[in-house]
Amino acid sequence: MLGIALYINAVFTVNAKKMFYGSGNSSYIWMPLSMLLSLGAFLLAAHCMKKTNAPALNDLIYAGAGKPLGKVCMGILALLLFLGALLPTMQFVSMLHSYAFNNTGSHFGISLWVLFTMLVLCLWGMETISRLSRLLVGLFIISILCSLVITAPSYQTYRLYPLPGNPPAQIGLFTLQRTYVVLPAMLGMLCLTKNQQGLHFARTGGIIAAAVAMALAFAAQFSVSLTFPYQELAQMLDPFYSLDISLLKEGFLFRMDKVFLFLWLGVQLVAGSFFVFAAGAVLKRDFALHSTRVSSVAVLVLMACVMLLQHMGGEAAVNDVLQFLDRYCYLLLLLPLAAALLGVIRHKEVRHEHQTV
Amino acid sequence: MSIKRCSAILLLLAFALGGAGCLGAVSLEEFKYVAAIGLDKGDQMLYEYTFLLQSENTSHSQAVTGAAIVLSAEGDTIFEAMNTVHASVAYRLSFERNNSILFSRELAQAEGLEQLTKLAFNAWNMRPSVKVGVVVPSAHDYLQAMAGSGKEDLAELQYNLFQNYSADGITPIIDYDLLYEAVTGGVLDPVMMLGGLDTSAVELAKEDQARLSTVEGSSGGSQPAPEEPQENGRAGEAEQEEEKKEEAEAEKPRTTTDGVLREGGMAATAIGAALFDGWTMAGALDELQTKYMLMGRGEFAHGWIKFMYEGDIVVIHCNSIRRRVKMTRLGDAPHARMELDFTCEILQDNGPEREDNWSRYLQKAAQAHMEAELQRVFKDCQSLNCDAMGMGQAAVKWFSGTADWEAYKWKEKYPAMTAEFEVHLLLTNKYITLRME
Repeated sequence: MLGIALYINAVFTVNAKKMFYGSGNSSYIWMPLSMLLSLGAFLLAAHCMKKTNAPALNDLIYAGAGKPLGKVCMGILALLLFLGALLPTMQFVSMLHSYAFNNTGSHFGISLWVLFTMLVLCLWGMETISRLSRLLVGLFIISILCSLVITAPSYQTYRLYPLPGNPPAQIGLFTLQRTYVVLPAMLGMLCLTKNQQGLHFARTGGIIAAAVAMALAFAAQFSVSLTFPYQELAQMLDPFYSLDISLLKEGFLFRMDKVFLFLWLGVQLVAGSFFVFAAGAVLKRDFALHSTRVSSVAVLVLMACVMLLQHMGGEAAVNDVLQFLDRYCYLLLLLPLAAALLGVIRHKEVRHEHQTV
Repeated sequence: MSIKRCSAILLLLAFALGGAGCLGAVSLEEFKYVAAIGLDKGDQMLYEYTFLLQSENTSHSQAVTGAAIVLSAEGDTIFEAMNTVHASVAYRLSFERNNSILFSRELAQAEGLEQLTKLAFNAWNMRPSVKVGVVVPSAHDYLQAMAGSGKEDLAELQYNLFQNYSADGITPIIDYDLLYEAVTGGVLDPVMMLGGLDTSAVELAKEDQARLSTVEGSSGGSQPAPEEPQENGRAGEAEQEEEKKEEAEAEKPRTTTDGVLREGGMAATAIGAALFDGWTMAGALDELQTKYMLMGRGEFAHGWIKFMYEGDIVVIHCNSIRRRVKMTRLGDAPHARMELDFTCEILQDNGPEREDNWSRYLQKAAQAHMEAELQRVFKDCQSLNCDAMGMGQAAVKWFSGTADWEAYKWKEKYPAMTAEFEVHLLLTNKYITLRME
């Protein structure tokens, strides 16, 4: 489930396309690197939790930053989890409207169907989400690999040039900027350790999920880079889906794109539900809401409001916000991470004081 | 089962039915599928749009491919042309299966292809993999000829194009995505199929049809006669018809394609390649030149090569295995060295049956012939300012940043570029091809 969420959020949510592709394409470097960096941060947070015997990330953050600042940190984490659900959902609704249900008027009708399904999944809870993701993950990986294989005749290495596409400093910046779509999923997992099977399970699962998602994201972005030049990528709604509709030679797998689109949509619904549920769990615990299901519904209503705003003439404003988030949102992650580190330092001080006494 | 659960299931079902498209479903028969679109310059409005449709004949048990239909209307945009067409037919056009967009040469030379960039492909359910081509004299006539070719299945015609592309190496194939990339990407220029129309074949088809309808008309109107005389009459008629047929065959002029006499086949043919400088068509290559251009471009799969050796015609069949381009700077001008490796077999050779005939004589002659042809075609393309062989793909490797590459302005350097070609032919199946077995 975590692997699916990481892959979907990394590959399908590049909003500021002009910024990321306008001056060259090195996405096959910075996308897996951002996952690697996030994995590093995740392992660090998990290590801190283990050191302090904190049952969940929330406890570690409260121990480090105190109650008021801890609440701010958890609010930020809930916001990032909310964005983790919102951004790919908006992208998939746009894709459905563009590629499957065009000439049908507003996007919002499609959004309601998508949100309704997520609502059902969230009401059924984390176990259903996890089991569904286990059912879908095999098919999902096969569909990705199929997409990469059937487009292989279109690959041309000259499209990678000029190498490496962006200067190293820019690649580094893009790597940092993209952490905000992947790291929240991992931190969300650490917030749920108390209700799940403990820290060890979350840590092992996180490593495997990140490794698989990293490999797949690299393969997907590398294929995209071999198929489209950077000038085209800066204007595309979704390069990965476009792989399947840009085949020069028609074959028996030519019209698989629609099948894949709906399969990916199904997978995104599960991943989105995980984000909503995790955001709901954080809100319930740290902001004294009645139950996780109720807070998940609140998160979904908020998502519906943003989507409604987008379709009621606020498209430009929402796009501006998304571009801004792509540029600066990663900075928000620093606060919970710093709080987690402070938690370890404070824990050590307390232990030292105890030992001295 | 509780009321709550029942209502939840009913609610879910209602949502699922709507989501699956079961509500407000549209019958397939309401549509006709556009297989190709043609664009010509219009008389009253900016463009004349021609739609080649593939109809489906549905029976109780199966759907079979029906005949091709041609519709055309003028309009400043495709939407106006569609309105005109829709007002006069009892179905709607669907572009989901559209496979090609053909432009007349006149339009292609006047940057008409840029029109495509203004077309919302997704809104029409059209894929960016739609093939683009240029035809002479007009797209309307070309599509008319395709529709009247006697082949009902247009998919088969399009399949033929790909067969030419991969088997003979004489037809370049480009889709909208590649066209857009070639124009905006700056590392190569677009090259596309140039279709021609053999008007003599069209006339012949019309004559055939007229003759057929006359024969049908006369046979339909004949009265029954006594048995014996009827049999004799039938035999006599058959003899007369056969004689007439033979006479007609003798009188029938042989059709031509690009100045080459031929007979049979379709009126709509592929006659070479259209070369572009950006969005504008700059010139054309014939079939033979196209073959060498595709070799230089790295898109030649396999095909035959003919050359003369000591007064005899030699034909070899080449399979492309590797293309390497090394770009250097000679002063300010770029210089390319292209190496092309092929495996080959001798198809026709009247020379002596000697084991060293290939290695001592033919190989060098064939390589020299191909290198000279490649050089000639490269110069032709260069004179039209069309980087048809994609030399820019090698030049871009000099740079480590896109800003430097864009500042270099490759197309301004291209006219001064020099190139040398080196062909390596590796003979396979020596015993068969040298007639040693």
